[in-house]
Amino acid sequence: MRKKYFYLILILLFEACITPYEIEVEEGKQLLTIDGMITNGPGPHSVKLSKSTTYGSVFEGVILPERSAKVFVRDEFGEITYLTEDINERGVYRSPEDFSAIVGSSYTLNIQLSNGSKYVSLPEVVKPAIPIENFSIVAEEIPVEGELFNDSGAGIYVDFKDPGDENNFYFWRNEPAIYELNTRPDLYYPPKSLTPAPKPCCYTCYLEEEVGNYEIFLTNDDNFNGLNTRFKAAFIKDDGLRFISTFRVDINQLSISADAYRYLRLVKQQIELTGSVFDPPPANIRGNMISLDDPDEVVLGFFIAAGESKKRIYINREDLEFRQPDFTIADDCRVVEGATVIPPDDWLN
Amino acid sequence: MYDMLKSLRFVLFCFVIFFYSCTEEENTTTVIVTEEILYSSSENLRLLGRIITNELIELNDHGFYISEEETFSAPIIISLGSKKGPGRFIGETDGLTNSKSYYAKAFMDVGGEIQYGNVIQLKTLAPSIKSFSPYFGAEGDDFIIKGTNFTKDTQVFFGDTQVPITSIVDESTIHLKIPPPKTVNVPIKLICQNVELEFSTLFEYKTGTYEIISVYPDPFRLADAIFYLKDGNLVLGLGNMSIFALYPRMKRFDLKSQEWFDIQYSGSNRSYGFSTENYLGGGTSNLDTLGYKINYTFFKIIGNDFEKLEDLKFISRESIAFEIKEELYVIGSLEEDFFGVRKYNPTNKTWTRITQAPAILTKSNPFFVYQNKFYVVDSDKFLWEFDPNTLFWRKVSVFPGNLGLGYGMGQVIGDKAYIGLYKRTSEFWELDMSNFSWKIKKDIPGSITEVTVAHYSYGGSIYLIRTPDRIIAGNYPMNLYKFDPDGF
Repeated sequence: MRKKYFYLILILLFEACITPYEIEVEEGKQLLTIDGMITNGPGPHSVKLSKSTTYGSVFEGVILPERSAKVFVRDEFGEITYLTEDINERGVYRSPEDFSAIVGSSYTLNIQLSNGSKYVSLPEVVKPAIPIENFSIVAEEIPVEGELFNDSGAGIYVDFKDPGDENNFYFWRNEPAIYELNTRPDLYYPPKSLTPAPKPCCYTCYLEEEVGNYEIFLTNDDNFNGLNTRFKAAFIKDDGLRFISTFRVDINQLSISADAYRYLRLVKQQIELTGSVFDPPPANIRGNMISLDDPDEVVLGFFIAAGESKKRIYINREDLEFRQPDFTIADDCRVVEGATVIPPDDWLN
Repeated sequence: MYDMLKSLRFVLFCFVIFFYSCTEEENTTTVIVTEEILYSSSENLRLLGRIITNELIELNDHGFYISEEETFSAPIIISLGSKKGPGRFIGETDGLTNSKSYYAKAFMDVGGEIQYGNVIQLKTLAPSIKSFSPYFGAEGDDFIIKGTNFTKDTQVFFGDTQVPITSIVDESTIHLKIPPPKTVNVPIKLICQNVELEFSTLFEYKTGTYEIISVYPDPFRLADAIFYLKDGNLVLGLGNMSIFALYPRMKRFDLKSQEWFDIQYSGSNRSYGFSTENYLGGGTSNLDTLGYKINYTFFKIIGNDFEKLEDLKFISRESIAFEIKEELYVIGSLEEDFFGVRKYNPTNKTWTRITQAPAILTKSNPFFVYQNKFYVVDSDKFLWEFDPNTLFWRKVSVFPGNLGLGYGMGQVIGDKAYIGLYKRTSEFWELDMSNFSWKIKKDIPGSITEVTVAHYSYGGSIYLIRTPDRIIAGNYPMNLYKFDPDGF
């Protein structure tokens, strides 16, 4: 009996209440966020408007598109081009297809929100586009923390001649890619069945997808002013499907302003923080948008006007020294969303 | 005791020396910067300035000076009032003159002392015009002028008529209403401040006036009637006056006397017959849609009399009929041989089926004759040309208007054809036969429910007899309109 009490007391002795500690994040303002670019390339060009949300252990709200705004770009001569909201993508405003910025001209982005607030960008001058002369493709590995196998993909390097008479700033983006999607309909098994049911069609389709660039690729010409140079412009990750046969992507080389370069470099620094002691301190990055109602209001994002040169690049499986193991889809390729058996009109041209 | 006091003093002295430190006097810096021109147009200017300081300052006033002189004599002062602490500020003014150089600088009033920022030079922009729309329109329509840097005092002129401006949006778009016409083609001119701008292309007014000159004497609304022009008389009759009753009479409107007269017609009643200046015939003798009784009788029109000819040997209901070089052509029928094209030889009084039409064509399709060729708009809006010499059909244009519920009309004046006024539409189009270009005329006034009962072309005008569709209940007259295609 005494022994029982002893154990009971022992249990009660080590009993403790744990009160979870709730971290209360101060509710931040919903800030207008602008992501807009116009170039001298063919339109339409787009500007994306949204409202930021408070970040905590989870997002406290949702990032809302800024709808029904009046958006226009105005050049140095006062000519106005209105951007209209895409009904399929709210908060995205597109210029007319026949609108292209003119090299040497300066543009401001003007926004009036549905609540009447007005915003304007600082003027951005369109720099001349520097053509991509050549390109090369290199298979590259990327270590992945905690994974046995590294990621890999295609690093795209561009060759260009930097003009020596001015300070140039470069930024690269890629457009939606298209690749030959190879599947194995002859290996098809119906769901929940052990009996094969090979399909006669189709082995090869063409799939368009938004392959975002792996990181922000940008540079200035401090180290190669006036010289021929080669620079990494893109990295396309190999997902086991993209490089089975032929992959096509358009690389845009953009000549941006010094202010845009500084802004993007700071963004790149911030998103590439690794937690090391050598990291730059987190910072609030100011863009070039100003509220006309309150000039001290924080407006996120940047309006870029740039000169653009484009290079279409085809990557064949032989171009890569090593690849990820091929991913096999045992079905008709047309079951993949967005895939079509009809190649683009200009495929391999 | 004295020694202790001495030691204590020494210790205190050491403390003072030990804890002594130099306090560097902090330099306060306050700078005002004229940062950027955010916006400039002909008369508006928006500037961005910034106060940079490391102290808590309080400004009595801040803003911008703008002047035409670098010395800033007689400046425009944008005063933004008091301000606490550093930061950006924006100033605007709207009293500038276009295409002129100005100097601008930011200022701040700190405790009565005025400090200025850097001076920037700028030039206001010139107003310009790009386009106007529509190029062709009617009085009261919306009119838009696109351009740049329009000033508040902008004046717009249609010819020499100044037009009130409804609004100027973003200094780049002017909205107004088209004023009443004085001439058909007018230059569009703008005056912005001291700058006069004129478009190289002229605005063209929609023309076409409709005047009711008479009313059909009988109080019926006819349909599927016979009508033709004969010696300056507009003839209308037969057809039906309700879905149950054929109309037995014919009347003519003498354009000289502007009076209606009866025509003695001894032939049989008919609906859906055909008629030209010299012939009438075909159609149905009853109105029973389940079993039409075909009227085969055929007449030659001589003045106000009718000579009976040999009966038709084919069924004609809602056929198209026209004359070229005094020969009668009849196309199609809603009963049989829908595509047949027949020619009547008045000499030997025989009919010949000469070819067939490329589409089903009936009286529902507007048609006309121009320079010995036949033209018709089919139900797909194609304008067909038929040459009776070669028997060749070809598509020459596409009707740009609204086909409504069918039963459009076609007439010719000179080198222009006038097509439209389909059932339940008020659109009327002019076709330039030299290049097949279309131009819309002013809409016909009256209810959209009106239908064209008869139409004629005479003396440079078109005459239309119109009345509300019979499905609209009530007593309505059949109005005779005179249409002047160049009137405004």
